[in-house]
Amino acid sequence: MSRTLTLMLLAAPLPAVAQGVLVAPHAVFIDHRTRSGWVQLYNPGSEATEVSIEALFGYPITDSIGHLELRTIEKPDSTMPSAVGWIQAFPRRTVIAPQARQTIRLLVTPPAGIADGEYWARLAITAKGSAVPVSGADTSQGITVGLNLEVRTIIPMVYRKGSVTTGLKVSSLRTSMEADSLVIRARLARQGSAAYLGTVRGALVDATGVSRGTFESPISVYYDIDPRFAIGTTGLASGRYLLRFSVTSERSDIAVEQTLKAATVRDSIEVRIR
Amino acid sequence: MHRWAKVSTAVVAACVVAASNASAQSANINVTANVLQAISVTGFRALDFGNVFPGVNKTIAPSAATSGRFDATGQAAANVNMTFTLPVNLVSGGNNLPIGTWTGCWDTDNNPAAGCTNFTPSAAASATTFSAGGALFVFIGGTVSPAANQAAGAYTATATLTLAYF
Amino acid sequence: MHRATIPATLLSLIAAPAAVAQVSVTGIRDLAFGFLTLGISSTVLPSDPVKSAQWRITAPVGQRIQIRLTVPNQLLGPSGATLPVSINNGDAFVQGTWTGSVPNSFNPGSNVNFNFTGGTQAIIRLGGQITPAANQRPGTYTNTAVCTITVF
Repeated sequence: MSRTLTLMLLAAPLPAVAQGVLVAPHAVFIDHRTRSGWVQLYNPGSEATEVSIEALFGYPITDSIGHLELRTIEKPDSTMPSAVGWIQAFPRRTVIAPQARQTIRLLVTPPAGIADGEYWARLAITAKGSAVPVSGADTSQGITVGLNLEVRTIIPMVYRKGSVTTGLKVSSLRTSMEADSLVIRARLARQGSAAYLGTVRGALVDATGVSRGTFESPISVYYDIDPRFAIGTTGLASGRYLLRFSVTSERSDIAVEQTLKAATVRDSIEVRIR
Repeated sequence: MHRWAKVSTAVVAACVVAASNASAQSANINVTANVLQAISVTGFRALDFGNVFPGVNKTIAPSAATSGRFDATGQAAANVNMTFTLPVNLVSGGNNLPIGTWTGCWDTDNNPAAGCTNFTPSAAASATTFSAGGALFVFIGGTVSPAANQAAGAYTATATLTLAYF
Repeated sequence: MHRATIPATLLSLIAAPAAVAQVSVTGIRDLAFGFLTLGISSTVLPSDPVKSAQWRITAPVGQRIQIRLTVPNQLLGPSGATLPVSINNGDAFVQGTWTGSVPNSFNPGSNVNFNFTGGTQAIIRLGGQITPAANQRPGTYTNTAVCTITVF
């Protein structure tokens, strides 16, 4: 007699049992004068969510084709501006009721006498749902499946002491065609003592000065990166264009008082679309 | 008498005028709010294998109606990384039910049938981007391989999606 | 010689301006919605002891006043962004600080009269609701609410 097993792997919960957590803000800035901050969590689901928070050290890098990755270092050495060991979260673990909020307080206790500058960490917020019974299980044979789902969100945390500055240098601006897109690459080198948080913009301008395609993307430069951007070229006439590239120290997703001002950097390159 | 009457009338008139001029005072307070950008990740739909027969592998593709689906929201056009911690087995007591050959695709709308970018869910980072509206949809599929003598029972596993914001 | 006496009624009228001068209104606390998340509604009840706005009115016992609130329908934020705010009927009350005085809920869009029957101080509290849109620009938003009291 064949037996059937009804299995449901809960990589995501059943409909109407959405499981996850909303984290705000998505970047935490803490000043040495207050040494404290917070993260607000919200459970949008209909079930309670167990949440935990931990700190780790990491920063964005780019791979060979320009995609951003988060490099995490388990034991950063003394040359790394790590604030991981200084952070305490209260509570570190909690259960958030459905549709409820929870504020996690962050207390930073740096060693005495740290130099002025910016120190980094990443906060990993893990939300764990309860086991969910599978629908359609063959209960007559007593076969059931209980499954666990975890969703983990990693956000940056920046600790600033004293006067810090930031800036950016753009070099090696270059383009290539990939399928129906113009791929733009540029080397971004951070200047100053603090991470550069800004917005990259590009515009492909034709010979008459009309913009035929644009892109805009938030960017975070901790160490030098070589990211990629793209502009669709479907429908563009063959010919010469000018790619205008700029990076500004403004972010629409971060409060003005938390971003560090830096000079806008610009570059341009001639592009031929065939 | 007449002089007093004039004086009293004038005084009354003055007081009536004074009384009819209502005295108004005001004070201001501020109304304030601080709006935060948030990032959220929600497990929207289970990866559902339905009925599985011992000895018969079953695969669910990311584009299938029963694929697993995560919904994320965040800053428009922001780059994010996805990594997965996925089980090798579903476990029931001492019994393992192998699961693997994970497949995935991500899209900026909730329809994986068209325009979904393929990736392999794994511990290695997959680069994704939020849409211009700050949305991201991730679909995953996989293959279960029950043995011919797979024991009945309650099989469990934990799958973790990590979304890293830069 | 004619003797002029001022009738009592005239005396009371002459004394009235001095009573008006004793009435004052002071802003005590802002209406602070705090940190809001995109797409998630946030309500501040007028009874909230921390977030609700509060004014204090001082007046002599027996004084009758009219209260009028001027409240914003939006807050102003970064780069010209606006954030709608709902302040509706029931989002305000006035209450004397003397024993036995109960909150008198009123519509912030309408005037309300209040009598200082048992003491010389009263408070006004104001709440409201905000739901930032999914594409609301992050940042600090602010505006002003005004309490005007009229003494007759």
